[in-house]
Amino acid sequence: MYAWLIEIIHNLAMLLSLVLLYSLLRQWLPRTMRQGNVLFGVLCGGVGILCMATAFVYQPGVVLDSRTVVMAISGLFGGGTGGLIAMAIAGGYRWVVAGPGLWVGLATILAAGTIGILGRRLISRANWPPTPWQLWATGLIAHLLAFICLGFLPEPMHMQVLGNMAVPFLGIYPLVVVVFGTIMGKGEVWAFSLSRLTHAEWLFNEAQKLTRFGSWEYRLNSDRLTATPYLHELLSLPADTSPLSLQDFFNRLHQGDWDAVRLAFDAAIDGKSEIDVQGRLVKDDGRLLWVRVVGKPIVEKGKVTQLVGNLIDITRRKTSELELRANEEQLQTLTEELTAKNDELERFTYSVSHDLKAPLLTIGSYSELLHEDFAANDQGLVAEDLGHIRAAVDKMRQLIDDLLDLSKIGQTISESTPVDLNQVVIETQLLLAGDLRRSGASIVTAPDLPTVWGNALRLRQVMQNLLQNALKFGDPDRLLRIDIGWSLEPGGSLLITVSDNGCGIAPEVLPRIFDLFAHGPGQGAGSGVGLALVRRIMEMHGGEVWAEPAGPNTGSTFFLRFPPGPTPPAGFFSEGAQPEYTL
Amino acid sequence: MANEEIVVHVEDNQAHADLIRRQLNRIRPEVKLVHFVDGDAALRYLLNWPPQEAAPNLILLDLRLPKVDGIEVLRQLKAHPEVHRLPVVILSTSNAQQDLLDAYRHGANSYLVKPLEFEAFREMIAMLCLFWLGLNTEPDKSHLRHSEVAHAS
Repeated sequence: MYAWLIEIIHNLAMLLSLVLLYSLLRQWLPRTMRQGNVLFGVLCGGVGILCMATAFVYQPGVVLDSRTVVMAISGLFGGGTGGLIAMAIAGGYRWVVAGPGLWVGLATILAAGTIGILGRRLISRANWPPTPWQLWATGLIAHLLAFICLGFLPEPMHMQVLGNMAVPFLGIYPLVVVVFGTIMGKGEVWAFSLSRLTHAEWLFNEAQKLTRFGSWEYRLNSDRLTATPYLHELLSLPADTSPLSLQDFFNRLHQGDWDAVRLAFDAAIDGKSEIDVQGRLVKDDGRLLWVRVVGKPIVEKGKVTQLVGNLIDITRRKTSELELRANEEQLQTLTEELTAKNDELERFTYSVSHDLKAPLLTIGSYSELLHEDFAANDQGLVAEDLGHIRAAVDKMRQLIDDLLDLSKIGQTISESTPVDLNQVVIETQLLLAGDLRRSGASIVTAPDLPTVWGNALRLRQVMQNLLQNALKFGDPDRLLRIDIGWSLEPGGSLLITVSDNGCGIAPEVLPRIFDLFAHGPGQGAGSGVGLALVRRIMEMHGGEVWAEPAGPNTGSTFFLRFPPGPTPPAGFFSEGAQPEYTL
Repeated sequence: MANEEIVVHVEDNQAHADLIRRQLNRIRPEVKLVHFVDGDAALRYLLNWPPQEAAPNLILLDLRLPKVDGIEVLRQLKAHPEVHRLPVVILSTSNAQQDLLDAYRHGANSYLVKPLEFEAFREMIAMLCLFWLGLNTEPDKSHLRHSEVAHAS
């Protein structure tokens, strides 16, 4: 009694397999619309044949099958191409089978397929997939037409058939079209969304690589860190390493940044603030990547349940930032040096003109006076005038000699050798023997002065200028005593001290005594260049010089510091060194 | 001598000091010239000169001096409650802006750049005497002297 129902279910199960097969093949097989439609048409044609081959006896004398449903679906979802191919295949099979109902059988195939194609045309793409009503209307019209075709069966059969077929054709089949059309439509939407999603994901990954940022999501309760493929790459982890924990991330982080990053994460977990922190990732090859981690807490029901954020590779920016800062610092230093040099040059120019003017006035004036005194035959005054003139000439010569000497330092020193400072002191003492004897000064040298790396001639000049300076500023009330000592500083630098018991240096001039012409011409002695020369030579040796007063009127101590080690600093005594001043 | 005129000259260049002494002797033989070769000696004299000597009428000050710099001498003189009234004329070969600014900031009464020509130099000394020892009027020195003594005691 219910055999027909089982047969219909049997038939419909076959249709279901069509849908499943279709959605399965859809992912692997051709993507373009036309290729998809051809495939779908072939499939529908095949299933149509299957339907006809498994036709069942609906009622005695009435053999039924579901080919019309398949044809309507083929037109609806395969379009003109799919529909025509399905009709051709199914129709071809029906032609081969032949028999008395051949023409009517063909007509039902064509009617259902054509209405399917028309339905496809009439339902706009914007409203795709079709609604159940649209599907039902298409199914109903297709089967109404097929039903009418049945009326062309031979006379004794047709009334009986029409009466029996009305229920499946007009009642069941349109509903079956609705069911399978809906499934097909959903499948299409799903496949379409999936392809869009896949594409979007691809685009997203490419964008992450280009902009060098990876995204992450951290679930608090499961300690699970989900990362995008590019973030895996940044963390030097295979893309399929999942799940990650927060510790995996910290393991890749430079230990020096742990505290700062941990603090930022803790604050976000407490819901206090968003994460924005910088740190370094350690790559497998030991390379460091500067990264910026940003993120925010996600609150569900008043509780922070997860954090989401990005990790951005800022190495390039950071590197250029650091470079920029280094450059700025270098520029700053250079500017300061240049400004200092400029200031010194300016002082120098003024001082030179000033100090050359003074003897000029002396010479000019006393030449005039010489005339007068000679005319007056005042022998005493003539001698005095001549003395002044001669002293002024001497001073000018000394000044010019010293300045030339100073300007030559950078050019003439070309080699450095080990220099025994004991020898330097002895030679300097010999050089100044006359002055030392006249002043009655005594020099006490510490035993075993060390040997330094430098230029013997220049170092002798240093010692000579320091001793001359001490002689010049001796205290007339006591005999001059000069102590030369040495010590090693903790850093390995050598410190040479030259102390005297002379009249000392006033604190306010102390900072300037190594400048050119700091004193101006003193009483007859010195050109104001000597200590500037000392500083210049010490700088050339990578060392420095400074002075400290022992107290008011209790002498001064000059300190010479030589850098540790025998290697002179870079650029030491370079041939190309420019003279500081051009005269 | 009650109205003896005194000029204090602070100058480290002996030739220039002699030059000024000779010119001053020639034009104003009655003027007493007191010469110091460094700033320290000048300050020691000026900030408490001997009671038997009158206060100077004019101080000629060079800028570049050993021991205590000219500007520092000027500063100390002008900071003194009594001595600051004494006219100080800077006499220097320098015409550097910095020196001029420093001198006037610390209260120099005049700034003269030593000319290089002997004639011009001689003329400048003559005009200097004419103005500062002739035309210029100064507060009563005896008052200064008394209050200075009072100040000292």
